[in-house]
Amino acid sequence: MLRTYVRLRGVAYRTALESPVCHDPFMARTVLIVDDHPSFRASARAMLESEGFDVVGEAADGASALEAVAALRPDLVLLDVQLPDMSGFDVCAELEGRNGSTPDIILVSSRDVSDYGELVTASCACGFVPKGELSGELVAALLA
Amino acid sequence: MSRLTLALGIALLVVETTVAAAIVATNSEIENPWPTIAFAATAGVAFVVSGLVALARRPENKVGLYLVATGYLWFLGALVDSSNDWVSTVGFVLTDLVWVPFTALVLAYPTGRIERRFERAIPIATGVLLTVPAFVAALLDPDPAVGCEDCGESAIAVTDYPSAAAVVDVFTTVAGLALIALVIGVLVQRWRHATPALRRLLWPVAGAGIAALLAIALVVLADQVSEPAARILQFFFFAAFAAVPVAFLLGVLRMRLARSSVSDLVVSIQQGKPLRDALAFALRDPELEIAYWLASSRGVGGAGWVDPRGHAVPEPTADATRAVKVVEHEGERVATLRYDVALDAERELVDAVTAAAGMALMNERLQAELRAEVEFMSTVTNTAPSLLVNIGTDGMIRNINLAALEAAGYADELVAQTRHYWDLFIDPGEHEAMIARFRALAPDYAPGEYENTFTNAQGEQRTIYWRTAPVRDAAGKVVSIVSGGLDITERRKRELELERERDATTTALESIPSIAVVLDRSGTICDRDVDNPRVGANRAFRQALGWRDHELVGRLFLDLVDEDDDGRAAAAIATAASGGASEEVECELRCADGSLRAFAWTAVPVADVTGRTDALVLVSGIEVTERRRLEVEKERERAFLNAIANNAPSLLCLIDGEGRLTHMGANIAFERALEYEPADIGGQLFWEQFVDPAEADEVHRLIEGVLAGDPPREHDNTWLTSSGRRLSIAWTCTPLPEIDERRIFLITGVDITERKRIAEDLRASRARLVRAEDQARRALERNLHDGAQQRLVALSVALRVIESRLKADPDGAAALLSGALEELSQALAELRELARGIHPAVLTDRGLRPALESLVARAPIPVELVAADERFPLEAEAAAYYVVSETLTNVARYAQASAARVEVAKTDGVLRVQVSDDGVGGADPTRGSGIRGLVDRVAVLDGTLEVESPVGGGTSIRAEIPLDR
Repeated sequence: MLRTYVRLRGVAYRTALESPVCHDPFMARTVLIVDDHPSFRASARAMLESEGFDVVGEAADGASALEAVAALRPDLVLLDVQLPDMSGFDVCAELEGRNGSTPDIILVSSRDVSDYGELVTASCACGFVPKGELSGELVAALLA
Repeated sequence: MSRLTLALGIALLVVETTVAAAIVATNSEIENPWPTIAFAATAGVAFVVSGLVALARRPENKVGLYLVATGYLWFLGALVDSSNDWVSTVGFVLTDLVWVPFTALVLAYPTGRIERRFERAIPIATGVLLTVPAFVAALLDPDPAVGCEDCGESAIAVTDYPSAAAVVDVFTTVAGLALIALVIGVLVQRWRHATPALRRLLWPVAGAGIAALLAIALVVLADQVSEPAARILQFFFFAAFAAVPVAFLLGVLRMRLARSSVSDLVVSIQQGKPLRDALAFALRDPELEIAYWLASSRGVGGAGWVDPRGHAVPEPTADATRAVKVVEHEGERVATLRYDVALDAERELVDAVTAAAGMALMNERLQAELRAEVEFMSTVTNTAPSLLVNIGTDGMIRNINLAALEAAGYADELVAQTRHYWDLFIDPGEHEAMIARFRALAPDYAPGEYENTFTNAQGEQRTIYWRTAPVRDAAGKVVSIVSGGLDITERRKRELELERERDATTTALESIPSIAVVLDRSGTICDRDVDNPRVGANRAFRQALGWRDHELVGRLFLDLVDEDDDGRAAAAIATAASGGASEEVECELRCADGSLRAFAWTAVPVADVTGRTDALVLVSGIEVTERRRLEVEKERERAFLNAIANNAPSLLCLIDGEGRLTHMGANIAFERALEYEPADIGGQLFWEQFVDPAEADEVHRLIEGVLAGDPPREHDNTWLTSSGRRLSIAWTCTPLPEIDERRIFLITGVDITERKRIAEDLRASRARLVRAEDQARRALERNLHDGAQQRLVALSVALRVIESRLKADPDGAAALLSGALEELSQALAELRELARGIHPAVLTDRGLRPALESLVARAPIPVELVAADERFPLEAEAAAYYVVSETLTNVARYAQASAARVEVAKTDGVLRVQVSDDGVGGADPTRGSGIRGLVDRVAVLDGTLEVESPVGGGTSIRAEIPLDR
C-alpha cells in the first residue's frame, strides 16, 4: 500500500491508493484525547467540542490510553506521539492488534512530521497534525 | 810301573798260560789241542806283554790296563775244559768276561778314555749280557758245556733243564752278535769323523779289533751251519785277535820313528821354510796354529796374542778336537801351538818338535811384535783426523794417511805416493812459489807452520793449517819431512758466515722502524759494531729521540727514562741481564731537546754480533706517543658518552645478539625506573626479565626482527619493574656499530605511563564534557518541548478556538482569551528561566558577583554570599558561576541543608570559589555526572575542584581556577 502525504499550507493530507476505512467525519464523533500536557488537552478539548466533537475522555500516557479506548470505545483518538511510557506508534500498533474495531487515530506532536520519517505512514493512524495547527477542519479532512 | 809289579805280572802270565795249557791238554775230547794251545797262548801273552809295555810307557793311559786285563781274562776260557766241576763251572760262567776289557780297549784307544757315556755302557752291557745268562744256564743245567763230555758238570746246578741251557746259549749268541755289530758301528762312525792324524793312529788297533769281532761273528754263525768251517774260521779269529796287541806295539814303534822328523824340521827352518808350515809338516797336522805372546811392555795394544803376521788373535784354547801347548823360554811365555788333539798321544813328538823349533819361535815372535807395532802405527795415523804426510827431501810423498788423502781428494794411496807434495796440496798457480820455498828450506828443513787454501782433485776448496818437522837419521841428516795438517775449511767458512751475519744484523737493525739499542749488563748503552764502536743505538732510536751516537754510547739507558717509570724500566733490564725476556714496558724517554716521547719496549738478552761473549741486553720497541694520545682521547670520549647515557632521562640498555643484557649495560634512568641495582643488570634475556609476560612474545619477536636486520621502529609495550609494577614504555631497538666483533643493540625507552594517564584523563574529560553538553542540550530540548513549547501550542489552539468563537460567542471567547494570556506569560517566564539556565546574561553584562547575587536570590534556602565585585576573565567567571549554580542546585536537591555559604576570592592569581552547606554531607563526587562535569569544566582552565563531604558534616566544594594561563 503506498501512501503519500502532501503538505498543503500546514495541512497534512493523505492521499491513499487504498485508504483505511475512516468514518464519516460529520457524524457526531466520540473522541479520546491522549497527551501528557494538561494544557494541550484542555485546549484540544475546547477546540474539538467547539467543532461538535464529543470528547469522552482524556489520557496522559499510553497505558491509560489503551484502557480508556477499551473502556470508552471512542470513535477517534487524538494521540500524542511523545508519551511518557510509550510512543504513540506503539499505542497505534497495540490498538490495531486488538480484536474488535480499531478507532480512528490521529497522531499529534509538537515536532515536525519529518522528524518521524516513515513511521507515520507505516502506522495505522489516519493522519498526523502538528499541535500548533490543530483545528476541526483539519481533523475532519483527515477523517474524510 | 815298578819292577816288582812287572815281575808279578809276568809271573801271573806264566801261571795262567801253564794252567790253561794243562787243562786243555788233559781234556780227552780235544783231538789235537796243541795248535789251539799255541794260538790261544800267543794271543793271551801278546795282550799281556803289550799291556805291560803300555803301562810302562804311559801308566795314566788305560789302554795298558785294558790290554793286560784282556790277556789275563782270556785264559779263563780254558777252565771250561777242566773235569773239575767247580773249575769248569767257573770257567763256563766267566769265559766271556774277556770281552769286557776287549770292547773297552777298542773303544778307548788311543787316549784310554771312552768319551761318550753311551759308549761307556757297552763294555758293561757286554759283561752283563754274556755272563749272567751263563750263570743262569749253570744253575739250570748240570751239563751246560754243550758238546763237551769230558768237561766238568755244573757245580751250582739246582735243577735239570737242558733246554734252558740251549735257550741261554741262543740268547747269548744273539746278544753277542748284537754287541759286535754295535761296537763295529761305533768304530766305523769314529773313523769317519776322525782327523787324518787320528785315523793314522786308530787304524791298526781299530782295524784289528774290527777284524777280530767280525771273525767271532763269523765263527758263531758258521758254527750253526758247519763245525769244520767254524774250526777253520776260529783260527782266523785267533789271528785277528792276536793282531790287536801287535797293532798296538807297531803304533808305539811308529811314534819312535816319527821322531826323526824333528831333524827334518830343523833343516827346513834353516832353509827358510815358513816356521808354521815346517811345524805342521813335522807334526803331520796341516791345521796347526801358532800364536805368539806379546807382553804389555812390548805390545802396542797392551799384552796379548798375535799371529805370525802380528795380527791380534784371541787366546788359543783347547777344545774337543784341538789341543794347546804353551812354549816357554826361560820361564817366559813365548808362543802356543794349537794342534790336533790326537797328537796328544804322541806327546814326545810334540815336545821334540817344539824344542827344535824353540829359537825359530822366538825369532818369529820378534817379527810378529814388530809387525804388530807397524800395524798399530798405521792404524793410528789412518784414524787420526789430522792430515799426516811424510815427504821426502825431493818433495815426493812417501807416506800419507787417510785424512790427508781425503783432503787431497784421492782414494788411492798409491796414486798419491807417486806425486810431489805440491801436486796434491798446492794450486797449480802457486807451484813455482811453493817449490822455491821448499828448496829454500834445504838442507835443515826447519820446523814451521803455514796455512794454505787449494782446490783438491774433487774440485772442493780446502784450507789446511800445516806444521812441518824434519825426520833425521842416526847421523842427523834429514831424511824426510813430516807434515801434520788440520783441515780448517769449515772453520774458515763459519768465520765468513759470521762476518756476513754480523753485517746483515747491523744493516737490519739500522733499517727497521722500531727502536733498538744494545746495553751491557750494567745497563750502559754500548757499541754494537766492532768496526764502528760509536754505534750504540740504531737509526730509528737516534732519529726518534734526536740523540747522536757519541752522546749515547757509554750512557746509562735509565738516564733517558722519565723519572716516574724508573722502577719498571730497571726491572725489565735486570730481567734481560739475567737471561730472561722482560715484560713490555711503556714509558717516556727523554729526547735530546728535553721533550718526552712515549715508547713501548721490551728487553731481551742477546749474543754479541761481533763475536764477543759478554752478555748483552737488547732494548727494542716502538713509539707510542700517538697511540697514547688516541687512547686518552678514546677514554675521554667513553667517559663523555657514559655521562650522557647515565644522565639521559630515557631508559637506555644494551643487549647482545641473543637479546641478553650486557653486564652493567643500563643507564641510571633504566635502573631507577625498573628498580634494579647496577650489579643485577647483565645476562638476562630482555623480554623475559623486563617485559610484561603477556607482551613478552611480541617484544621478543620485534627485537628478533631488529637483530635480523629490520629497521628500528618505535613500539609501545608494558614493562615490569623488579617489584612487579607496570610501566608503559615507548621503546626502540637500534643496532650499534660492532665492538670487538660483538653485535650490540641499544634499547631506548621513554616512560609514557604518566603521559598515557594524562592523555586518558584528557580523553575521558573531553568525553565527559561532550556528554555533558549533549545532556544539557537534551535537557534544553526537553525543557523547551515540555515547557514553553507546550504552552505556546496550547496558546495556539486556544487562540484558534477564540478566533472561531469570536463572532458566535464573544464572552466565551473573552474567557478563553484571559486563559490564553495567562498561558502566554507563563510561557515567557519559562523561556526566561530557560535562557538563564543556558547562560545568564547578567554574568556576561555585569560580572560574577551580580550573577551570583541573582542566583542566590532565587535559592530555596538562605545563602550567604561573600564575593568581591571584580571582573575576571569570562571563562573563569562562567566556570565559577556554574560551580556555584550546580552546587546550590545539589544543595537544594540532596543536602537537606538549612543554609549555605558562597565565597569567591582572588589570591595569588587564582580565583578561589567555595560553596559550603550545613547539610547531611556524604556527597560522592564519583557518583553523579554533575560534579564530574564541574571538575572537567574547571580542569579545562587548568583548575582544580575538591569536594569535602563528610557524612553528617555538611558539604564543601572548593574550586581553584588559575587566572593567568
